[in-house]
Amino acid sequence: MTSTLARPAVAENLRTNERFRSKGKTARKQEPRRWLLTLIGLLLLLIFLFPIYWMIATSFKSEAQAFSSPPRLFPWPIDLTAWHTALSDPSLGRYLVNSLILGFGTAIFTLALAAPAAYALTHLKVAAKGVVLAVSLTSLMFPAVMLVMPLYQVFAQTHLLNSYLGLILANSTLTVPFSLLLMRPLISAIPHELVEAAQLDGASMWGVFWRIILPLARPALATTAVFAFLMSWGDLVFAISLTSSNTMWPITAGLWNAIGQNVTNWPQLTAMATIALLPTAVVFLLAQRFVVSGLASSGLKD
Amino acid sequence: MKKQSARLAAGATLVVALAALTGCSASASGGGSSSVTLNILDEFTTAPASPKLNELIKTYESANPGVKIVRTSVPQGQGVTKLTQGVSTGNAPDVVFFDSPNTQQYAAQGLVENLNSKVAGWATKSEYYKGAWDSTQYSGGTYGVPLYSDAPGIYVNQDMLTAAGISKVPSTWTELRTDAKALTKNGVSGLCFGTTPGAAADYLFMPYIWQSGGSLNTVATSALPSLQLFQALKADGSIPQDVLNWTWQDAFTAFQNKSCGIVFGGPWNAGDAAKLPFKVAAGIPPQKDGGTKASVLGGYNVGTGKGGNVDAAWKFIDWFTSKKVLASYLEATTQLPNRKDLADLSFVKSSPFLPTFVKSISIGKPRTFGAQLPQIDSAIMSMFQSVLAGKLSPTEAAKQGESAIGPLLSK
Amino acid sequence: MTPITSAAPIRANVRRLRRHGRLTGILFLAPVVLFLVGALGYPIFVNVRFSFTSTTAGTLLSGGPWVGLANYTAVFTDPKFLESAGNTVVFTVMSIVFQLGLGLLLAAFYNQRFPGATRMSSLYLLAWAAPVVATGAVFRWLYDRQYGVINWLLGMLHLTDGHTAWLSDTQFALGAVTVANIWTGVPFYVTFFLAALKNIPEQVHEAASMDGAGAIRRFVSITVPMLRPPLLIGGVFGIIFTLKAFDMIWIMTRGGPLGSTETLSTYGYNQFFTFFQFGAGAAVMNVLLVVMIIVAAIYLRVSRGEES
Repeated sequence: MTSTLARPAVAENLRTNERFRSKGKTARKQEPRRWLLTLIGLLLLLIFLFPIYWMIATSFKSEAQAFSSPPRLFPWPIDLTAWHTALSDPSLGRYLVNSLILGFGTAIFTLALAAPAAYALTHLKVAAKGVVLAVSLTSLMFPAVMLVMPLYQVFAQTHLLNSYLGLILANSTLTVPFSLLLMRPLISAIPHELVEAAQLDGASMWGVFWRIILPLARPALATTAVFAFLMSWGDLVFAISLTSSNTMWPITAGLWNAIGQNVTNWPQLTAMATIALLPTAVVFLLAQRFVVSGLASSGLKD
Repeated sequence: MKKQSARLAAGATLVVALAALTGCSASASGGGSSSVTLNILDEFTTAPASPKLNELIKTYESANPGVKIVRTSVPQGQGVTKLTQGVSTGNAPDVVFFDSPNTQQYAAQGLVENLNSKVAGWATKSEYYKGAWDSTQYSGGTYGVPLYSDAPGIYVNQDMLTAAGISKVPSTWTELRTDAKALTKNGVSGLCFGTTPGAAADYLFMPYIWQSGGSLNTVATSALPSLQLFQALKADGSIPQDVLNWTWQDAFTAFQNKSCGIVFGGPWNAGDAAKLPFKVAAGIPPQKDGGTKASVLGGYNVGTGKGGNVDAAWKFIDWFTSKKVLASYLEATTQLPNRKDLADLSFVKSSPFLPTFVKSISIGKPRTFGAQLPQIDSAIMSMFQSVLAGKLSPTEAAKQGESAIGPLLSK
Repeated sequence: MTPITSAAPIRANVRRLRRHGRLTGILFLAPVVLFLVGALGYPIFVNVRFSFTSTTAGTLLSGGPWVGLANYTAVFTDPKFLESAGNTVVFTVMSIVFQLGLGLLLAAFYNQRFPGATRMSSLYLLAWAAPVVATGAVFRWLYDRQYGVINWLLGMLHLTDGHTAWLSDTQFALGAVTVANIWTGVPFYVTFFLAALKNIPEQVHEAASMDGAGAIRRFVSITVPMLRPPLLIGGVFGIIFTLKAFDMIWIMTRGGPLGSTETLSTYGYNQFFTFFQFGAGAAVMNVLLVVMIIVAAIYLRVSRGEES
């Protein structure tokens, strides 16, 4: 398999790069230039993330401060009116809990389906591997808008409307195929010799999966779980279409509703947007390593 | 042994997935008892309408121990979607609160029940004003009963008006144009309104089309004068570009922020307008000089859905529209009555703005355009937006409007 | 471990494993296959059926009467469909060109060795992880005609009069929405290309710089050609995710003003949920699906070509 060979080669490249770099002739002479690059890099990053800063900053302004011209770059003195209003909304806690349930539920469901399948696709001999892959790739493209009506119909008949399970299944229509494509190269990178050796020792397929693949694929599982969580958190279309009451809404639907009512009370809307963003930011910062490796691997051959 | 466990485990994954699929359905549909569960669908997600409805539902439940009410509320404009989804999948609600102009579309698509047999001997029927009652009719059937009515009008920043040397609220097209122009300065726009998709173009613009003496059948001629009016207002600089992406509420917020001198609004803004730190006056939609007096009728009706509990649903509706209950609902939500027995509600009389909207209702026409209202609405919006965006001349826009709307009316 | 002494048992073992593997492999795959068939295959079937029938709310379950290609003809002759198809092309192409371009440039920058490079490059992903609803809301605020930062900045730099109604002007709305979409996509490509760049042996660059090639020339004539496969794959990813983009547009403009930001996704959504033209909505979705399958086929071609 090309993958098992490709992996070490990548590592080798990285290592040689390191060697070349550390050999770099006069590291000290380059010091000021490197700090200049850091400065530019930081500046670029700050400019890029300005919308997020502005979201947070606006939420700490009074309406008068927000609607001042020229705009005030810093929310000073800090005004907590918008946060008071946002946090006193009795539905907010509900929205957040719903988002968390859907995020974790989708992540677990996705792993339960995608991990065994990724193993089968990489280390087992199964018919129609190509078909499964092609189908997952194609299904990744279905606009949620297209799935809503048929899913609504099925869910109505199976009493899944307005239920967590229904929304988890709906969100999984995106995360399962995505995870399959994401995990395949990562699990395929586990040396097949390990699988063969275990098999020769008499381990069953399931035993191999449970004792060899899963422990070794832990980073891949974490990556998949994080992606599934983030994707589920961001969903709007399913959330507003497959529920019939706002007690089932996740935070994105709550925010959408608030925007629909009145898009011009910006401190309040940005406070709510910040609340919607916060958990994803925390998950992302905690699991940064996995996200980065996951995204990086999606471009590598497998 | 190992083989078996492998198969078992792989099978288990499957079973979990399937059990999950079917398991939840059991819990969701459980809890059946001899009592009646009424499913209510409404579009009241904000205060004061939403909490008031909850309060009334609780009152009803405690007075009728056998009845359990499950409420579903969706943001304004989303009720149609939810209702269609529900009906088409066998999950229809029992009681539906809906925007009155949707009546014909709902009736044509079979989303609500014909209540002819219920209203035949209904005493309250004779209390309703004609326009409001007409909004419940489709092909000889009665699809719901009126809850409240509204009609658009204008709010004016009187401080600004006085500063510009104008003493009265504009009441004609000519006055609207000169006043809006006079108010447009120092970053203030004279006239604001919202035309974002979904902003009910018919409610916004029909008064001006009707004032020209025509109907939608002859839009190429009947819409022309109003299109010219808005083009002129735009050319004067009185209308900000933002109107193309604003909702009604956005426009009103701009008015609250003193970015707009005159705004199109409705009775639902009366509460906020009374709290503003500057002097505000209200007026009916400005009328065409020498034209036909007209405004447009809106509001909510309440009907029974296809949930299968028509009798219980009707009982609830009968209670909800009884004089005392409805009066308390109207008072809490500052919505306007459309019946003789509720004509003298004190909150209306004491409001500085609401009597104006009562006047607008009195010249309001219902929008009985048939079953294709969403498309017609979209075509009206296109007509006015293309003029406001400077894409088409009023004549071209009106012609395009007629060719778009004509086929929709016949359906 | 017992040492293996003869070849025969091994062969028998392997044969047993094969048989065994096939069956278990299917069991491992079955949940995913069932899920894909149920949650994705069935909806396609429903949409295809819708698109050939005249289905209304009342006949959604039973199925409306067969109308042949009428829905497709109706859609293809609707000037609004053609307009939204055009908008979709502009939106998608511009999004991808700038996402890939900016992503590559930033990746190349952070691929240099300086303190904090890796840490900073991954922080870009904060923008990517944010829910699109939140992003859309914030960009509406940034684009605000009167109090938006963008107008203030452009006015201060005397680039515009500072009063552009970005989202309410048919000239600018599509561009403005595209910029917001580009912003959410760039971080993905920064990470994606950074990984690809790390795969290019440094010796190549060393050799080139010894030949006297400048940084820019090295980038254009060495780095970019070596990144051809990831660029292609990234492009395909971009097309897929941009074609189906719905939330961003829905939050920012709902397809307005005057249809200037209407794409096939929002057009199809409106057919379904605003006008209840299920047949027409399904027809639009099927057209979109065919386009996407073609893109997917290209992707598989490209990635297979790469593997060999």
